[in-house]
Amino acid sequence: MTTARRQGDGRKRRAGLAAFLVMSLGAAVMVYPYAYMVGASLKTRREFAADRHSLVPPRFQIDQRLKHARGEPSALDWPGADWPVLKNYTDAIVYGQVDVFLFNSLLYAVVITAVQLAINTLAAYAFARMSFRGRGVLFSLLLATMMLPPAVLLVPQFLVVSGLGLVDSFMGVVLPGFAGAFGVFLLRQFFLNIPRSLEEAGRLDGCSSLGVLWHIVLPLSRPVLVTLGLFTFMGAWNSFVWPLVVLSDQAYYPLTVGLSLFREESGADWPRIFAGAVMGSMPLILLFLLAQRYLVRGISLSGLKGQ
Amino acid sequence: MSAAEPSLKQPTSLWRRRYERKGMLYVLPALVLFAVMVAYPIVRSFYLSFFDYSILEPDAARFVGADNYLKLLTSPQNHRPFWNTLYFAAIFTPPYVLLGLGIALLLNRVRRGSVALRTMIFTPVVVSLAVSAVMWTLFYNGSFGMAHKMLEGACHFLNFLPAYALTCLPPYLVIAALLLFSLTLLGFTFFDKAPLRITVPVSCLLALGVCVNLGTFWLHESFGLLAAFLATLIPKAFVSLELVAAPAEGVLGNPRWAMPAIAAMCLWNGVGINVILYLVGLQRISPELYEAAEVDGAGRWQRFLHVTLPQLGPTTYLVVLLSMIGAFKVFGQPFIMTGGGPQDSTLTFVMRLYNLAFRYGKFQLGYASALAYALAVFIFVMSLFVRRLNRPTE
Repeated sequence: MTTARRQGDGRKRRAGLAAFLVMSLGAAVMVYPYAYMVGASLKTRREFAADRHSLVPPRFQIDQRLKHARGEPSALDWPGADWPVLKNYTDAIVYGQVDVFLFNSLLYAVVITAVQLAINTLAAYAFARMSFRGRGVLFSLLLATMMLPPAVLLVPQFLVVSGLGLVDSFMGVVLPGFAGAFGVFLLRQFFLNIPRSLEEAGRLDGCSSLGVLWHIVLPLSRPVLVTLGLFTFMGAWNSFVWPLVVLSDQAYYPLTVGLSLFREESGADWPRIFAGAVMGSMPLILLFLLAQRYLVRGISLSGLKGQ
Repeated sequence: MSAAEPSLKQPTSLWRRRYERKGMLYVLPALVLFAVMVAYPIVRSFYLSFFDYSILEPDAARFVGADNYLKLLTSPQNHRPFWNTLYFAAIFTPPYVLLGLGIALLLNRVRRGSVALRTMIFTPVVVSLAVSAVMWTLFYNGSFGMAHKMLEGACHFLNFLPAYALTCLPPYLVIAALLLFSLTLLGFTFFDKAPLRITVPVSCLLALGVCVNLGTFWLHESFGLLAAFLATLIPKAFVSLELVAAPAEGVLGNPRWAMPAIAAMCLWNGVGINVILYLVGLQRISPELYEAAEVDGAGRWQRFLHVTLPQLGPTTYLVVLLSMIGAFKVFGQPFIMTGGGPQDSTLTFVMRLYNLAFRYGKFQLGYASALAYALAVFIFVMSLFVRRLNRPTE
């Protein structure tokens, strides 16, 4: 009996180890392009032309350093080897205005996320806990629009925004991002699972309904709020079509649009393009690393599933 | 829904009325935005789709009835984007879903470090499409791109496949055996008898050795005797993949392979989402079900077939639906990587819509709206179809 169990345990551990090895390989495939991109963004043009596949720029490779120390010709003699390490990054900012695009993207994403979280929390709380006329109808209407592909909205949203005189402006980019049915749905599912007795206790203690929401419901909903915040931020940061349609002034471009422009302008100067791309993806990666531990919990607790 | 709020029905009418007004107040901001940015545009778009409307001369709009829809069905310029999109969905969706499931199953088994692995696999989803698309354009570059080099290697291997098939154990058999071997390592028990459990992996390894030997020595391109002999029998470039034809542009410059290349990039880019959804689904399966199945004498494979898969039914429905919708509205990746080229081979439906509405200089918003509605209807029909497929498993 005990040996059998130990055998089963050992097999399970072996299975776990094998799965880990296979998955590490897979994860390496997923992350390799970024490692490559960071490495390439540190290369000089000469280095990139001579050595496209290494992850470490030649002038930092140990054997090149040794050669240099021995006085042999090495990558450290190539033109540009004495440049500052982050030369491509400063170039991307100076010539490509990547810092402007970055700031724009950050602004759009932060504003959209903040407004969506605030509005959707209120609406979702009302849908989950308060009864008012037309609640069921409104909620199902909201859900129905989630099925529509955004392409349907592209043209008429542009007409609305241009009708409001907001083409080529900050508000024009952000406004359509504020309306999100998915957030209301996700939050409502989560709120429904919070025990009602907690809220009633808060009400007995003299909290207003807003107070109950703020002091009791929201602290309990941190996983789902982080998840929704992350998804909204990601969606806003990555949105490409809408800014492309509504903007023509480059000063308002977000990073997604700006980067494709920068790429066209830079020709084949890949290290510089990659420097821009690294700067463009780092904020999101950092945010994701901070928020990821809530991710699975947030999705699973809110009961998001098919039918 | 109504069973959830018995306590709200109790209070006095005054209290309730105040509460009701407050409920409306809470919903109001979301509702106003929703009405202006979603509901009205939907209606407006439908209305516009019956007009010949251009934003350059809004006063010259004229009612044309169903003409836009007729034009959209009959115009050959729309057929190519439609088939392209369908082609993309067909080659993208199945591996997208299956890969998500496979990775989630494996990740679920990993005991330590699963969070780190999960994070790494999800990273491409997080990073903006513009960045990933630019990066992959470089990888697909014909003169030095890495993915291009690997594809060339694959072509080379495919060219030699018939040679392998003729001389030694068919390599696909070996690959299947290897798969079996790794599955036994993972703990699946296909062979419950002890001698088989040893002989199968060993014979797999032996076969691999034979193959490697043949492949590297006897079939070597330059000095392999067998290869020299076979080269006289087999027409050269059995599978050319047409990669050599367009060396400068690589696969993205090749009308036949640009779309699969974009699909591969999308696969890499988005598979993390499906992994997370499947992980959540897997965590929701109660361990008791597995224990019960084990008591009933079900093996690993049977437990997977009769417990895991049925329990994942709702998740699979969601994943398939989301993946399909995502596939039908693909725009950004081909837009950045190829711009619809070469020879319109990656021109998708949404890109055609975008071009009509904003790019060709005519701003045919009415016609574009008709296109949008056609897509919406098509997606709706496809989702009904998926739902129908899903029903028997529930």
